[in-house]
Amino acid sequence: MTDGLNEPPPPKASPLLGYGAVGLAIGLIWLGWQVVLVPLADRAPAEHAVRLSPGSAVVLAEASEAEWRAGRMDNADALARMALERAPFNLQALRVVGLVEGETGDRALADDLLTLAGNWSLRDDSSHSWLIDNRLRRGDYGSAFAHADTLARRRTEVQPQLFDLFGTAMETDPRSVPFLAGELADSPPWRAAFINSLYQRDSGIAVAAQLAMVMKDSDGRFSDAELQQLYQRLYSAGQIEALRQVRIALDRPAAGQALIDGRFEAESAILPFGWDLAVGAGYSVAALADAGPPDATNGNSRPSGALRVGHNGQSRDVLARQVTLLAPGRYRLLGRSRWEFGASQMTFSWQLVCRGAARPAGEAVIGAPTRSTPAASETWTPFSVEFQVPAEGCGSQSLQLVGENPGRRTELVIWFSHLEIVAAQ
Amino acid sequence: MRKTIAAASLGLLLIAGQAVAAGNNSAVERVGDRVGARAEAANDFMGIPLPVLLIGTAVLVGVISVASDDDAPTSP
Repeated sequence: MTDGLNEPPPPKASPLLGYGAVGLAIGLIWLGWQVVLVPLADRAPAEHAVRLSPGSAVVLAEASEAEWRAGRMDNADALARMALERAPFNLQALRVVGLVEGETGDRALADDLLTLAGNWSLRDDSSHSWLIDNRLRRGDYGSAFAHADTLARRRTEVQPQLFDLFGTAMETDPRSVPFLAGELADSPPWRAAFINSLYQRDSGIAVAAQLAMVMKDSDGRFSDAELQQLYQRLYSAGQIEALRQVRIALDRPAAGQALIDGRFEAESAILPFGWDLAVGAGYSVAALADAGPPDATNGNSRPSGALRVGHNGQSRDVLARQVTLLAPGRYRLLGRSRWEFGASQMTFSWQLVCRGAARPAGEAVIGAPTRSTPAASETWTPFSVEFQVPAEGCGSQSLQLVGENPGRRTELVIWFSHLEIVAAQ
Repeated sequence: MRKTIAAASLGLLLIAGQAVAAGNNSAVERVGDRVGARAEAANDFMGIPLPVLLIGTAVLVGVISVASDDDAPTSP
């Protein structure tokens, strides 16, 4: 009994401990609220986000931009400046101040602020688009196009508008061409799309030709494919004189050559100059770089290239074609041929045909042997024909190879090489 | 040169932000343009055709109406 009476009473809880627990609970609740608050403020509409988190620079900047979009410039400006008081690096707020300044105040100051925003982020599309507009107003094509390039690299959906800007500028003001050429010379990712878009414009071919000539000495000059696209457009549109002028200006392929790659050695061509070899049923046409006769002009016995034609005697398709731009006058077509296989009544003809004409101006006909001899299959036989390019109605011509067989179906292989067009004496 | 401009612009961004917040717009000096240097003698090119200006404005309106939030800083 006495033991129980002598037991010390249980210690009383310290009131400080209770206050601490309450404080901790309040702290945890506050912390939890803050954790919830950030994503809430991020996702809530700007006007609610500001109420939820009025001290956040990010929220204020978002709200300022929302106000700017709504056209409430004073609110936007005030909110953006409040955001900058808390976070001077806030790009969004600086941009809003710049945009507001641009609409209601000093455009030079706005230009500086938005230039800073653009410098800080190449992804700040609003700043870059404002700078395009402002630099154009100031008459500064170079700077405007540089910002347009920044925008075009990122925003494919804006490219049609930007391409329209570039195209219109080049059509209406030749001073803009070198600046655009400068941007294209860096081969931006939008280059191919822009050049393609040019051909959708009424005067796009002329603009593309102008661009090609301005860029001809730069590292980013028109590629063979781009040049071929331009040449083919000019040729299809019947603008032969323009085609001739552009080719002379660019010297690609070399304008001094009447016939390109007569030895069939080139790996690629810029059509319509160079060989356009047909693909079809009943024949095969291929240029082989080392299958021709030895080339005496290069001082060694290296074989030149040659054109191989395998034919079943049935097709009348044009087998090979090349456009020429011969001036009026008298010319001679020279070449060599070799029958590899077959004997028949079939003939192959190299024809020079004026564009739009029904009959060739000149034709070199090579007949197949009536019987196959092994010795003949090793022999390169020269051929030549003279022809006249008339002064009228023959601005461009096609040199083309066709086969004709009055007899039965057969199998033939013939080779051609050393084709040349020279002025006749 | 572009890197120098970018580095300088970082500092200027801070100065500009502070200046604007303080209500002193004049603190922002002329700044170099990292993307497309401004032609100081741009008046030589005054008289840009109206259609070009109109399309430039249309680009601005089109971009701003669908501006994205992707405005994080980019390296030079």
